[in-house]
Amino acid sequence: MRLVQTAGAAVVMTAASLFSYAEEPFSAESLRQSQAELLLQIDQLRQETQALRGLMEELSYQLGQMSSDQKTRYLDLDQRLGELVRIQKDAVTAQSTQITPVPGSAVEGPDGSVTTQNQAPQIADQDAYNAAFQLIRERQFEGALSAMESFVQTYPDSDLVLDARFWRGQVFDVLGRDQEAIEAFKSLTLVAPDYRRILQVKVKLGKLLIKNQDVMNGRKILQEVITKAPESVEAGLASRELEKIN
Amino acid sequence: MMKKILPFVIAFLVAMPVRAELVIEITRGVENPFKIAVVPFRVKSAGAFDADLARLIESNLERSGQFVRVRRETMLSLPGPDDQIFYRDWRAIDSEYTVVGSLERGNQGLIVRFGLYDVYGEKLVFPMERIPGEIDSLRDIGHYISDRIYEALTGLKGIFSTRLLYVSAERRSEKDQTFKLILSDADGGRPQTIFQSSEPILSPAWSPDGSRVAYMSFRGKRAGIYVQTLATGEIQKVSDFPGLNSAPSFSPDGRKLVLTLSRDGNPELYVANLRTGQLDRMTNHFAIDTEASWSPDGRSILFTSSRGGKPQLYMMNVSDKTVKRVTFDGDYNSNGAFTPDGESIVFVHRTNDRFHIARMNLKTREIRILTETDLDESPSVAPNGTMLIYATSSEGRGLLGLVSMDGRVRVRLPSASESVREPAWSPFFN
Amino acid sequence: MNILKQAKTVGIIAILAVLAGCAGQVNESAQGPSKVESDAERAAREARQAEFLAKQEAAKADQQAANLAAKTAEQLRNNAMAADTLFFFGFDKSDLSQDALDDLDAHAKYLAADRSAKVRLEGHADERGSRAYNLALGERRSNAVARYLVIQGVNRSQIESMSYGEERPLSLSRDENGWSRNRRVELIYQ
Repeated sequence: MRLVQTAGAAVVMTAASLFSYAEEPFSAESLRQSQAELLLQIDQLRQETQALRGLMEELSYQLGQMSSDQKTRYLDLDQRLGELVRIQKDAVTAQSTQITPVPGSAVEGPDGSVTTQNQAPQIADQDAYNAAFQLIRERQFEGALSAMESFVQTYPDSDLVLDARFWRGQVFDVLGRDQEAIEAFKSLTLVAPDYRRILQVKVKLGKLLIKNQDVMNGRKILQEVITKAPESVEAGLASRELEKIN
Repeated sequence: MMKKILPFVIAFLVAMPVRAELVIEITRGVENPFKIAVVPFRVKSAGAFDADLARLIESNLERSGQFVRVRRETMLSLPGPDDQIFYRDWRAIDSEYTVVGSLERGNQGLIVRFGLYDVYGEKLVFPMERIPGEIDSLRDIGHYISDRIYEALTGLKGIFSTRLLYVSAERRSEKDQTFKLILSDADGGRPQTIFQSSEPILSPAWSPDGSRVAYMSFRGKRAGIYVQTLATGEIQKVSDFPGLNSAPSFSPDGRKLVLTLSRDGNPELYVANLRTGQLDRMTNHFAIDTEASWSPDGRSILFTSSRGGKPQLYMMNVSDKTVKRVTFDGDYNSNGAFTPDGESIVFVHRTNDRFHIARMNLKTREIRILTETDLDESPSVAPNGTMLIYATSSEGRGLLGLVSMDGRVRVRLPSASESVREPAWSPFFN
Repeated sequence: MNILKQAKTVGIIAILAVLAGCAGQVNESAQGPSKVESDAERAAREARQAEFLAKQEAAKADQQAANLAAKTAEQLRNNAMAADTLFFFGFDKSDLSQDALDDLDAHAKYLAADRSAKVRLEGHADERGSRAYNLALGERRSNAVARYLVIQGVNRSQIESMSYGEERPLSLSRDENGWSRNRRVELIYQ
């Protein structure tokens, strides 16, 4: 019996001594140490992952931008080539059939391509107009004048032509170039009697005419504003101008 | 030809009728502010008033950057609302618009009358107005008149009757400080402390209707998010979990709050339902996710995350929680907020080792740096989208500054001796 | 190698078990009942004596161990009190420096030895960048310290970790000197 116990104890002792690595007082310490190292490594890995993620985000953004740039460039090239081909074709057709080409047909294209082409100039004219108008805001009147003039020439069919001519007149007025202003406003009243700012144009024109000794025509045109739109702000302005000369 | 123009004209008129009128003045450039003379208001009854309405109005208008005052000393006459206006007197001193007004004590309170003249157009811009009010609401009336003038001349809603929320800090030593949450008029006037603590107060945010404010503060050493009802002073605790409870932002319907909690070990975004208290975790990343801000349409949440190694702005789709990075310029972009139209964002942006406020158009991705000082932070956009308020510092003191959204107009907001920070611009109240 | 060792162990256990079994059988069959009783009595007495001695021995050892422990705790406490309680970080960083680790080891040893000791960790950031982000950064720093202490054997319940962001700067000078002092975790014994 005793032997059994001793033997049993011996077994336990032996087993324990064989596994003693984990039970020594210093082993817990080293386990902790390795845990701490692991922690630091995980932190490092996380930082690394984050940096990689950041880089990947940036690269994929740049890639996306580049490919969209490329697509735009390709479409642009494609369109230009298409136009070139069409122009050539038109020229050939015109020659072979002996029909005089309609002016502008080369640009507009012979078929439904007009609609697709129309969009580009529309955006372009708005931009050009805005740019010219910006000069007025910045009080660069000389620059604005030539910008408005070249706008009228470049986009003769634009919806904004009348506005450009209106501002041209206004700028002449600001610069004290009365005769040119009078010309500009006068031609607007003749060309576009339904222009949405026609009342403003007429009041300005009336004032300028009176100032430049053409009191009769000035009075006439101011009177016209009052009779045509008696409720308008401009009618008020016109009657005040008339009062001044009476 | 004319028929073609017509739809364009109509669209133009419908879209911005008042603004279109402004453009007519050819000399008006962006750098050409309205010149406005505000005649001292005539006092028609005995006893002085403690506020100079005319000064308040001209300061308000001037602060917008779109107006320049005509100095009182140069005025040739000081007409009241019942007097005749001699336009040439005002043309002579280069005033484009002239404001006249009067105030008198009535049986119940106060009556203010005012009018706005267009000097060159030689007419009243709108009919003379009469405002009944209380004696102690004189500032409110001044702000109302400023709004009325601003709206009539610029076509945009005025922001003079809105309010500001900001935090002031008084420091005696590192551990001995007093923090106050302050509510004031948009011009910094009438500041009142609505909450005070010896521990930091951070990230005040307005509810969309302007009736409540959310902020972070400590109870003891424990941080929490609280929502305070301004009218009653009643305070509701939204969260005080262990760890971070910070950066609240209301949803556009005012029912939810997006905030940062680190109760799961790491700063993450959560959406808290203010009625049920239910929490919905929005992010899950071992990096920092914080400073969430709800888009005006309620569909997206803009937030700061360091998941890419450095703080950058990301946009989350609220319905499916997918995330997209928004900022790619620079190595520090944080604390983003939307403009009221939802088309742009403003945020803290580091360039050349200095921190500025920048604006980015979300469609074109064009970035514009708006401020020139250093350590600029906490941008908050005015409800009409024309300006933003931000915090900066000078000689160790926190200051608040205003800057127009194109960066051209910069104004420093006067403040008391304490250091101020964390401004939040209220929504419109009406 | 390990497997070999294990195999050996199993072998030894098996052999010993067989031997023990045989011995038991022999004992029971060979001895008479009376002899067994007196043997048993003696054995019991001896056992009691041995037990008594062992107890005495153990008490002495306990006493010694306690003395040693007290001495060690005292020593650990002194070490901890001598160690730095401010730990500094790089801009937008929350990783601990080697210097910090050495000091933190001293704190950890003391806290692990004395479970009644408690610390508060306050994370801070410099004033650059936005406040709410800095609040999160401060927390990240205090959490980095807390995690390290826990791994070194400190109980989570002994640590309170919080962040003040950029709200409580140590230095008010607005240059890298001042900023680097403000990017810190403060360890405060409660």
